[in-house]
Amino acid sequence: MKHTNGSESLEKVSALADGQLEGEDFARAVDELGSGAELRASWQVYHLVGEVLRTGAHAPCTDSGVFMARLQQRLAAESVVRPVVSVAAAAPLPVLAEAANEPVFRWKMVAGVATIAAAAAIGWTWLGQGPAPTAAGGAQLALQAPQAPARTEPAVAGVASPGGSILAASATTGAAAPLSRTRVLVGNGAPQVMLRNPRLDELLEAHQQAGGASQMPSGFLRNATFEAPSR
Amino acid sequence: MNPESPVWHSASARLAAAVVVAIGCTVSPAVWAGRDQALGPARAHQEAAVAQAAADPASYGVIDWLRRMHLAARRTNYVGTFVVTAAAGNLSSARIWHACEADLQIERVETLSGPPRSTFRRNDVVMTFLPEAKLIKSERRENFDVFPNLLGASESAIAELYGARLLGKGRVAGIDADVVQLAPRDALRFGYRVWSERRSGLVLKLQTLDAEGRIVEQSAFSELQLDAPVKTHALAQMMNNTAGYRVERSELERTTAAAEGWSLRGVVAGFKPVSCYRRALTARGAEPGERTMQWTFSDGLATVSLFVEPYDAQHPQQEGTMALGATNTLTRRIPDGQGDWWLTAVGEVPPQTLEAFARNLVRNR
Repeated sequence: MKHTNGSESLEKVSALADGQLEGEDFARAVDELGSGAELRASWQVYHLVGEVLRTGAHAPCTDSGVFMARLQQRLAAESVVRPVVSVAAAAPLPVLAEAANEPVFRWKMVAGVATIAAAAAIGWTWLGQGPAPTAAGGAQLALQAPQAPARTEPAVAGVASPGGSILAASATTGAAAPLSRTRVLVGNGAPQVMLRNPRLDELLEAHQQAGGASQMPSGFLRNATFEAPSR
Repeated sequence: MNPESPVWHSASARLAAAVVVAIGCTVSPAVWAGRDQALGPARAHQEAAVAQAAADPASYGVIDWLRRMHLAARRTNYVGTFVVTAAAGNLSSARIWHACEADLQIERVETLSGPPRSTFRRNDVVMTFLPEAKLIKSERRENFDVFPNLLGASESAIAELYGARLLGKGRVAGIDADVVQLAPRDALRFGYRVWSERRSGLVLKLQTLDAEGRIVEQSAFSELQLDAPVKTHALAQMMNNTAGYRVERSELERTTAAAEGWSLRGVVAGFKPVSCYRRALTARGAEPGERTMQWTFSDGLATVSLFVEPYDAQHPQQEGTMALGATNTLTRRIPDGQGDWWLTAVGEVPPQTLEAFARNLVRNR
């Protein structure tokens, strides 16, 4: 962990987040990020700030480290549905220089770029998928995981991603593959799903307008400020 | 609807919803008085009845409790901070002002989280101020005449579906309350635990419970000032201050499910149809002429909306069920010889209830 030139390191992180570093500078900054937990926290904060400035709202997301660890476990256990895509995801990113801890760090970078440190915002939770969905009590995740790293990969090359969670990214890719039933369960009971769909939000508004929960005396209280920040 | 900023769709949605419901609260007391729509005498009568019944809360039935809660929401001036929480974490918070004077009810809801938004309601007119878009969405909620009949479900029907039990005493935001359990008699609806202010019955905290007694959503005042000096004219002035904003009025197009070609082949226990609209929903980028049918049902406390639109093969979506707090959503593709349909069922009910609706929905022509 580099403690000398602490502020310089922060500057590098900031420049990296802005996509201003190239070549050797880039490699060095990435290396430093990999070895410093504080710098990684700063990295996440910079992305959060950028996201908020760009869109006026922050996308809900989870603690990326925990999530990625669990995702890795699940992926290891799960058979790969799309071998081609997952191979591409595992290929070393050409822009990064080789570092001793690179394989581990690459996942964390992907997570850092694609997810943002969470405030308390929540999204829809998938309960089930397909014609006979199971009404599960806990939060389950329907995730097309192999596509997620591929999608966020290009973002690692210094360009700040537009934010949103891996899950949201995969949801959009999922939409492009209509009848796919690929399903990976990640975590159980932990709030992980963050899906925001303007279409769904519009329907929810229409539902509440027509009397959703209107009869419950304080139903209006329950739905009073039900937020759905879109990405 | 203005498609330029997707952010406020949901935001205003829920606030608008909030206000609608508040409106519902104010109108539905008429039902309790036996559908007597004359406001003054009926209300006085109810209040007398409530005062008499105040002697023994333990003997109240579900209707007595609901009546108290409705009345208190109408009659109390208050200012408070309100927080909605799901099992997964905070959903949102807002500051709410409510003032009433004779037959005039004015409410103001300011969001404290997410994009800034103010919603004002004066009786049945709702205006949502969106400062970021400099837009005001103005609505006149039509279905107020429907509300008393909506519970037509009627009092006895609600009593058949839910039972009330006084659990004990509690405190919310420093205010004493009675804790009441409203338990459903079947598995097609959620239960509720309500903290009802001891004196007036105003709902201070509401928990929505699933069949196992787990809390799926909680909404509560974290801070509340009862009988606050909130003046109706002050709120009315804020509501009328539309300088610099563009006002957009939305009208609801009423229809019937039969006219749209849909019906339910089997009744989902307790749920009666309330309204049916055709809406132009633009978030998906639908063409101007496209309409989505919205068919709404209610059992008196919970509501379900069925949204049906033509299936769009260009933008296929995932089928499944999703949950957000107490609100569940089910999406399904309905095959049809003349062109498939896309159903989105939304409601504050367990997923199996939405399943039942989806199974029973049939096309007539």
